[in-house]
Parts: sequence; C-alpha cells; structure tokens
Amino acid sequence: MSRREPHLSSLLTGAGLIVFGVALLLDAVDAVDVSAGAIVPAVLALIGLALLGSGLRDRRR
Amino acid sequence: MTTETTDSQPQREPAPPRRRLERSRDERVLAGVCGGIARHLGVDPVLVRIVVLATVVFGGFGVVAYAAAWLMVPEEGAEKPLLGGARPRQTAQVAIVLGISLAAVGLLGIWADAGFLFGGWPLVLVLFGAAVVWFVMERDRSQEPGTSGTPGAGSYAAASAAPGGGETVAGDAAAGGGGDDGEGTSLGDPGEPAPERRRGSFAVTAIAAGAVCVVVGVVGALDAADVVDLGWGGVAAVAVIATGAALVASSFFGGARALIPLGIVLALLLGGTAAAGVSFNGGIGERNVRVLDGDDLRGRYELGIGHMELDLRDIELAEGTTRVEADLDLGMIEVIADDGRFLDTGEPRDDGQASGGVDVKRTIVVGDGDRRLEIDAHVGVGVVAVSDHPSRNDDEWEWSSRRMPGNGPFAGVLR
Repeated sequence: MSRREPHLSSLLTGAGLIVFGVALLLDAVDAVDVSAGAIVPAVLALIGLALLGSGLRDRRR
Repeated sequence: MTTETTDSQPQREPAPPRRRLERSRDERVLAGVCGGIARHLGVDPVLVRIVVLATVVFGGFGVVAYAAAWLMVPEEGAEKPLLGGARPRQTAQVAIVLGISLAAVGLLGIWADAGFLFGGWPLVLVLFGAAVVWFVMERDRSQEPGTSGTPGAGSYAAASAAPGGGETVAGDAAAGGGGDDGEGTSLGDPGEPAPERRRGSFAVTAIAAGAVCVVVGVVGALDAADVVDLGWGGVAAVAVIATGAALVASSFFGGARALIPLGIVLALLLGGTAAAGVSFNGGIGERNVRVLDGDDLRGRYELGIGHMELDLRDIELAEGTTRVEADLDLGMIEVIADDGRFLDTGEPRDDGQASGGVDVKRTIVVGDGDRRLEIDAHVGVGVVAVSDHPSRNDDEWEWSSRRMPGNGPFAGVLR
C-alpha cells in the first residue's frame, strides 16, 4: 500500500491563507484592528510558506 | 489510505442513456434555450419564455441563466456544448477569465445598479462556481476510462486518473516522480518508475476554484440579504479563508498550484484594503451633498470610489454639537464652508489645505458660537480637502497641486 503525501506548497499556503483570512475577518467585524504594519509581514510570511513548500517538495524529488 | 484501481476490477454497467437537454434548432428566438427546455420538459415553449422573461425583468437572473445555458447546453445534434467544444484547458481559461470579469463587474456595483438579485455578484459567483464544478465533473465522467475509480474518490480520482489520455498539465506534472502519487490511480510496482501522470491537475484546481466561488457567492448573498453582517471586508476575508481551505483540501489530491498565486494576490489586495480601512460598500461615482439646514444632516455619508463633496455654505446649524461621518474608500472628500466658519480643519494649516495618502482621517469642525458641526472624515486611499470657499462662483474654485506641503503623495492646496 502506498502512502500519498500532500502537496506541500498547497498545504502550507492554504494554512497560511486560512490564518490570514481569519485575521481579516476579525478586522472586518471590528474584533481586532489589522494595520498595514501587520499586513506586510503576514503577506511576506505567506509567500515564504509557499516558497518553502515548493522548495521542500523539489528537494524531496 | 490510498484508493487503488486495478484493471482486474469488473467493468461498470453502462448507465441507461439519459434524455439530454439540448438547445432547439427549430424552436428558437435567440439560442434555442427556451425551446430546448420546453422540449425536455414536454411543455409549450411560450410558457418557458414567459418564465424566463419574468426572471429577466424581476432581478435579472434570467440573463445570467440564459447565457450560462447557451454556453453549457449543447445544440440539438451537436456532441458538445459551446463551452466544451474547445479543449478543456482552453475552455477553462476562457471560463475563468469570464467569471473573474463578471465578478469584477459585480464588485464594482454595476450588477447592483442593474437591480440584480443580492446586488448581482454573489449570484454570478455561485452560478460560475457551480458551472465550473459541474463542467469538470461532467467532463471527467465522460472521459472516465472503462476501469473507473472508486466512486467515493469522486471527480478528484477521475481528474488524476489521466482524463484526456496522455495529456500532462503544466501544473504539477513536473513532480512526476517520487512518492507523490495521484489520487485514485492504479499504482504500479513501487520499484518501477512512475509514469508521468496528471497531479495537481487542472481538474483539482478548477473544482477548488469553483467551490471557492460558490462559498464566497453564498456568503455574499447572505450578507446582501442581511442574514449576516460582514460587509465587503468580511466577505473578502471569507474569500481568503475559502481559498486557503480549498488549497489545504486540494493538497491531498495533488494540489491546486494555480490557486497559490491567486490566493497570495487576493491576500495582498484585501490585506491592503483592510489596512487602509477600505470597505467598498458605498458605490461609485460623484456625490455632491448640499445642506442648508443643520437638521437635514445625516449621521453618515458614504461612498466607495469617487468624489464626495460636502457643501456647507450658508448652512444654518442646529444648536449644540452635531456629529457627521464622511467615509470614502478611494478618491476625494471635499468639505466646503463659508469663509471663517472652519473652527478646526483637522490639520495644522487651516488655509484650505488638502491632505492625502492611505487611511487619511481628519476631524473637521464648522460652526460659530454654540452651534458646531464635527465632521469625521475618512478616506481609505485619497484626499481629504477643506476650503473656505471665497466665493460662490464655481469658476474661481480650482484644484491646484502647485504647493506641496509634504503631508503625503496627494498633498496640495485648494484655492
């Protein structure tokens, strides 16, 4: 029986987007105040996650 | 657990032929959709046309539905519909561009101006997303090889099981080797090199994107119907969450790589608008508000994109302090009052100064004696300008950017 591995880039980016989206949602309902100072690092982290996933995947191949 | 499909599985019984919905060649006014539906249902075409016309007039749903049927229902005698006539990948690209365009138009409020249901765009998004999912699943079903996958694996299995023969998708085909096996495909001997097969395929991406559209459309419709109160920002956040969830789900079926840049761009745009306090709830255009009696002032003036002018010349303010909010997402707010009536322009300079940039907030006070009007002006991206209008002659009123006091990229002076 083989074990299927998840597509890392999609998994990591998806998880990051969920966290990011929840933060935006909380901002939209005024539960928190998301500032530009927080957005930029968060998006950078998101891009980093995608690249990390892609790199790990390539390395494994 | 991996679902395996082997050649030894018994071939499935062919399903009985279904009565196919076709656009009529004989009973047509435009594209034969109504005629085809009537024939399919065994009713008079006129009856169908009346229903469709009614939906066009009341809410506009019929236009979208008719266009969708035109694209997706094959013409009588034809094997494939217009949307499926081209190669699947090209078709999907066209469909995605079309859908994004429709959604963009919807987001700009044009659907809403046309009186479409729920402001229009949620419906368009749901229809588009559902159409994409339906199209891909239908395509996979029709191209499913005789040795079908386990039904439970659904279209993902079919998607990864190389529909379209040996076609490889640029998506993840490069990840052909290694242990990243496709979903529901027959897995050869582990010792043998895995054949190049579709992984992270177009189908997975399309279904994930379609599901995102449906979720966002439904949430948008609920918001428009006031079932939930999220506003534009909340619905946009749901879009980001749905994209993330779709990506996570797709990762177990080979991934949806095309959604990754889309999700990041979406996050970037929405994050930027959230940081700037942009809500895009107020529509687009020019809004000129001229108030002469303080009692006629509303608590809040809102515009999405454009130019909002709050003209307070000759206003007779109510006693006490009146508070008003002026909120603009993108563009320019101008507050005009008679000479000498600005008590506070919200800026160090008070000579008719405009300040701009991102997330601009100014509290402007107009009045005299015990009659005051406090205007909380907010612009997401753009300019807030105040001016003691020197004259009621509009020809003498001119926007000038010759003086740049250094308060931001849009700073200048109204004179």
